[in-house]
Amino acid sequence: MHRHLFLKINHPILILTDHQLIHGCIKNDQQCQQQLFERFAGKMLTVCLRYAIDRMEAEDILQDAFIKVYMNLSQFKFEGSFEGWIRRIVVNTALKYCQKKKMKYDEVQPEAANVGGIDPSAYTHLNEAELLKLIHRLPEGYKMVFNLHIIEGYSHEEIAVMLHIKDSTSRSQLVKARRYLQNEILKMQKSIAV
Amino acid sequence: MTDKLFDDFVKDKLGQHNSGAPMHVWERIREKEKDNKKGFFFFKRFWLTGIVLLTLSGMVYLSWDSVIKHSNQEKLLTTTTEQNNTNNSNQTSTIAQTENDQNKAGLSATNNNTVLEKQDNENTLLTQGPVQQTEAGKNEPVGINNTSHSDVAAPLKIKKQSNALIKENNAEINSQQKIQADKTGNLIHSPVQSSEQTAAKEFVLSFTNMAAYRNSLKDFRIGNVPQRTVGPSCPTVNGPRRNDLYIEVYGSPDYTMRSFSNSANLNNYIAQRRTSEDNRNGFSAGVRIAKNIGEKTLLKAGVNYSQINERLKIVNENEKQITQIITIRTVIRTPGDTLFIRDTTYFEQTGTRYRTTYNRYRFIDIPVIFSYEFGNPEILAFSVNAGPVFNVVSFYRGEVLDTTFNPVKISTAKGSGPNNWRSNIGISVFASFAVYKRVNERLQIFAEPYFRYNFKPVTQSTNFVNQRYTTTGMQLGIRYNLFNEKQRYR
Repeated sequence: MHRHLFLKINHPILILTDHQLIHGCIKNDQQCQQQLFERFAGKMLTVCLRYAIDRMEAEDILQDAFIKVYMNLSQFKFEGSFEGWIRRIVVNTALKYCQKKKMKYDEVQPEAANVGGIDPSAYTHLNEAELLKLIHRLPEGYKMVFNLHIIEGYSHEEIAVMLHIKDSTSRSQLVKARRYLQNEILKMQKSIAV
Repeated sequence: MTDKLFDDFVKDKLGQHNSGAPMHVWERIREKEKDNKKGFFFFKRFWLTGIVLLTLSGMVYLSWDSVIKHSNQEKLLTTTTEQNNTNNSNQTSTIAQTENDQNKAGLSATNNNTVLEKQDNENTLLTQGPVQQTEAGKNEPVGINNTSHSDVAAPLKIKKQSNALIKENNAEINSQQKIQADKTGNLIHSPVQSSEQTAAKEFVLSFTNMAAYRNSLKDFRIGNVPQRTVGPSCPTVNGPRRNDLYIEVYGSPDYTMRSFSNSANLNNYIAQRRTSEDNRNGFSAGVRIAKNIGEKTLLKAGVNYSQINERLKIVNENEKQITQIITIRTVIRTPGDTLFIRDTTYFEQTGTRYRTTYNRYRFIDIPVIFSYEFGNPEILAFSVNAGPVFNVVSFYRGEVLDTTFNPVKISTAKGSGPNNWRSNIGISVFASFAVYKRVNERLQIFAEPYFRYNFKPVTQSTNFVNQRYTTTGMQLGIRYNLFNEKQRYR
């Protein structure tokens, strides 16, 4: 069985299932590890980019997160989505990075909170890169809550525990973040129109 | 509704977005893994070496110990055998000399001479009694007391006693022989086997058996029985007296309980303090000397360092920051005519401010503890300890909230603010229960759960809010006996 697996792994064209990849990685098979990285690193880099200040920091987070993934693969119980498991590790690593900065000064334009909901036609043309740029511009507290709630799908209670803040703080941060983003989208539209 | 649409749009766009796997990151991971593997290998090798060394040293120790025991046993047997022979000769010569001296001094009227004669069976025979001058000019015994000493394995003291008995018996026998000689005339060789002599011989043998038994006990104690199972030492007239001086080194993870009391009605303020500050626990470490003042009581004194850690977290959601931007432009109109235009603008920003401060409260104390020990010190001992702890100095680093909920630095200056703390918290009470496990002759390890109550708060007496700490912990340490004298007799 073991020999058979190795033969399979060493075949460059063969695409392994998550299950096979995990077992290969646990056995320290480098090709499996590389294939796992190639399969998930792209998506996870997007996650990191959403939390990090710049691409360099995002890559550092990604590196640390994947090392953790390789080290803790044996703890994966095949109970849920493997990608979800990796994503959780990446998010936790990103949060730790952000929490290392003891003092955070989150800035927001005073008018940001005054914008109401915008029409979907205003943002449907936006691509991923533009959206990422907009999220990058968010103040740190807003960015965290927005990412965790809207994209990762954590509840406010979970976010409160993760960020050591109150539920109400998480809710208010989310509202402000949303308004801020919508405001930025409107600004972008105006500049394009001009 | 529009918000929901917006959220869904963002999630759809970014939730599964792939930015492309950065392969240079993979290279970095590989390099780091290699380093880790090297490190792990080195670590593993280091531990393996340690384990091998420990095993080897253990084996050497055990084998050496058994060799020593064996050689001790052999030596003991050899010395016992040698002692038997040498003691016999020494004994006889001693007796001979003593009796010669006695003869010279004229103490003995009947025993004029003492002669040692070695027989063919290599047993030394003690011959006493009147001697006749033979034709060859040699002194020959008239009465012979055949006392075999070949199986004697008694220490010298016991042998001397037995010799004394032999002498006494011989004196009696000799007196009988003298009578016999008087009756029969020139009696040259007349062995006497009286019942008294046999009894004396048995008595001597019982002594020699006792000596052998004692030797075997000694052998048994050295070879087979662990030292710690040796029975309790015999008390003297004044009773046994310990003379132990220990040095104890310990460290302890601590858990501190904080309590507030206030003279003013500041419940909101205290509630805010409780929510913004959380206990990160602490630790203490110290060294102390323990001297026994009685058989089971000790007095301990030393130096103790303790630290309480706290974290202050402040989240200010509507923080405003004003940024001043000065722009200087240089306009060169003609050569030598330069104009500097300075524009100053102010930019106000509102945001959320997260601030975390790690507070450290440190105390150096001198504990003076009275201890009562019980249990078996050779195996597992216990002690109950209590006493005052005198604070030498207290110093702090960190911030606390003031009544306006703004962080202020802790200071030891006098004042009424919540940040004015004491530089000395005075006397505390310490109580503990310790368990000691013996490691070797001098070393013990101990675990000591303890409780410390501070009478005074850390804040100054003039403060409207009093903050007091009570500490519990588990001291884990080693105790080394500097004197290592189990008992001393007065």
